[in-house]
Amino acid sequence: MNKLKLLNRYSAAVTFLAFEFFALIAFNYSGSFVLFGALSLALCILLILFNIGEIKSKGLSNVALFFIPLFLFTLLTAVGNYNIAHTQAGDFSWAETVFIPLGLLPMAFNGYLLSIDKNFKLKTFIMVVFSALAVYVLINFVYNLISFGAFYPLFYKNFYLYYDGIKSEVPVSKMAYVLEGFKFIEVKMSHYVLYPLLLSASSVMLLFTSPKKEKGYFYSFLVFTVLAIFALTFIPSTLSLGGLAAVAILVLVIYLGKTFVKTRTVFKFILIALVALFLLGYLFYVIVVATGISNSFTGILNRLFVSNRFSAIINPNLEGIFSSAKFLGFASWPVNYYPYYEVAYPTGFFIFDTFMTSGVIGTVAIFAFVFLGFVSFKKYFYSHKDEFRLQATILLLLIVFVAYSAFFNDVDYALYYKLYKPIYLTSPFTLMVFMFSYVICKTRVDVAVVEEKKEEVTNA
Amino acid sequence: MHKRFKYLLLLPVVAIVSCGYSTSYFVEGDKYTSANFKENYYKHWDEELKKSTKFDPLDVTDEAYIYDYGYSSIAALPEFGIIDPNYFDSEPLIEEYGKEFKMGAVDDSFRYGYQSKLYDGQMVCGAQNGMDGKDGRPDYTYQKGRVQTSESGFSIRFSKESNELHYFAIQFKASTDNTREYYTVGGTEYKKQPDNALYHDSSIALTVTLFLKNNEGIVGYPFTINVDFDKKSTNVGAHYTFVAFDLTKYKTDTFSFTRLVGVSVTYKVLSDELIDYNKDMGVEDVSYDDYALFLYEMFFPYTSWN
Repeated sequence: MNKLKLLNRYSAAVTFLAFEFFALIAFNYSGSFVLFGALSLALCILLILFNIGEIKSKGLSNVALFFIPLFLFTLLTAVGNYNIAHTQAGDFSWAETVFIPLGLLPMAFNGYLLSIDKNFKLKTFIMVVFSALAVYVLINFVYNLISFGAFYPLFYKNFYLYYDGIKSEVPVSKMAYVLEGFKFIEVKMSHYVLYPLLLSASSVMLLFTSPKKEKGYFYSFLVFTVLAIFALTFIPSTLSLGGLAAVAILVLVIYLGKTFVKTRTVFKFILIALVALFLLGYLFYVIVVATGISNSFTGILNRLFVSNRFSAIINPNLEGIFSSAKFLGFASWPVNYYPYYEVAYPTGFFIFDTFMTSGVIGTVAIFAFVFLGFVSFKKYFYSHKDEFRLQATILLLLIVFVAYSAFFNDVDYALYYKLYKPIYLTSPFTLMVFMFSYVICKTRVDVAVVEEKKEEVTNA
Repeated sequence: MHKRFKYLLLLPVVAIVSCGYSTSYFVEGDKYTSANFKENYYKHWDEELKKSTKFDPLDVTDEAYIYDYGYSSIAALPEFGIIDPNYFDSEPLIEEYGKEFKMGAVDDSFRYGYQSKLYDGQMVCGAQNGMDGKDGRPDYTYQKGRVQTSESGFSIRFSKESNELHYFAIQFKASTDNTREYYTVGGTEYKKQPDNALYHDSSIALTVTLFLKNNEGIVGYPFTINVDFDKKSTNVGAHYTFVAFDLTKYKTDTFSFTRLVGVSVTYKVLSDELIDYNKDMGVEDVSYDDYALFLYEMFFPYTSWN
């Protein structure tokens, strides 16, 4: 009995350690993917040791299948032409390459382990992640104010900053400071916006938390939300304001969907229609351009698929991806030496860059993982295993991250430093892998999953 | 709202009055990168340095090390005693000297601002190879390396104070506005012959003023060096003039060479074959205002900074 008590106590300590790890990752601590990967692996080993009994009883076999897409993605990314070429060129280290599968897979497995861990409280997890994110956002925000002043993007549209004798690539209005590692570095505005946007997902919590019953919790999230809004509006850009508006709309949709059953059905149809339309359009675009059919297009089709400013960036990365040279990914600028002749520029769209970084199979795999994650939310919501507000916050956080990285992921975001970071080497991606995995596993472990049932109108 | 959270309201107030200390480093649009030669002169003067008292200039032409050299033949540099004679024992490369002694390596604050061109270790123009490491991207070619200055010069206020100074070195070349397509003699406009501005003799009296801080304030110590440019060094690409002098030689009881806070570079054109020739020919609108010194790098080797 005493032994069991002791084990329980240590088990709680390990869960606490897990929170610490997540805080470090959310804080983008030291900006090093190797560190995040190593932490994931260490945490995974600890959690396995303390949950070995649980793993046996709560069938790993139920969820093992769902790790296959991520396994494929990480493996193909690590051994793909892109990663090997850039590692040889010194853009990434070998350690980073090793930790793509060795860091991200344990992270996904942590999702499973913590979904069966009795000590793991999602409420605490959300609080920890947002607190760390808030500290990071606050530091960046304050540093930008000290350096450039409030609303500087409005005033310095035609001003440049010289560093080491080199004129900045973009005007001051399109740059910002971000803490990377232990140093503030100049980055493109789109990269600065990511973290406050993720933080703004905390706003959904306010609608479903009572300021009287849970004073501390409510006001903490109020601070997070206000901070996110300040960080986005005091340093305004099209992306920051547009992103904020999009998050506001999503919060409203979640609120209305939760409150009114009828709107939920409408939203469901709209959502399915939009996603289906996007996926069909995307697939069609990729196939048509990759196979070269688009070259024979004329008129409006030519304008849509070939001669617009987005196609000019995207198409070179899609051409020939089904051929043997590009099938397993291809090197991109600035690597341009033998044997990596298939050079293209990163597009800034993760949905297209992933062909470059992970090849065709890797792309299908990561799409499958993300799609599976989002589909699992339906089951997750009906399972009532976690509070709705926590589920909604995770959903919003994931939507924000996936939407942002799909369209605004710049691998070369640092202006002066040689920092070449594809999305899978960043801290938010590591967190995303955990959250998707947690949601996928939570709905599938512990057989007593509540089947879909009509819910009465409930108010928070 | 909870009492404590009224402090949240302070955040926007703080944000609005935030200082923006980096704004002094901002450079407007295409300033200094214009196609018009005369718009590219760097003329910034720090007010405090401008007002400071200055000693009479000290002519150090005889003691200074003045060297005209080609792109890859800096082998003779050890002669002036600044560096280890074995430093360039193998393939002497100018980049190595730049990397070793650049002021940008002292502290990150030296890396900001337009004047950081003088601290980046890039001692040549680097027009061909795009030295920002971003191959394939447009760069500002010949403007990248150098700071173009007129006779009235400019001053730099350092973000740090030095400890004891040892040496001073500067790398530059000179040129005139040879981009003009037309010139006028006696009211008639002539089209300039191609390449006629290249390859000519020129000489200047360069004045480098070191601004040192003492109990009474900032005092300027000007050093003058007469430089006769080699024909090549005036205008041919990849030829530069390197000037260095040993400051410890001029140390006195009152003149200790510590606490350097700024430096200014001015010069006087003594003669310029091309401009003088045009003047003699009667070309209008030609003067020493068309003359420019292109500074590439400035060094204070072996000096530590606080």
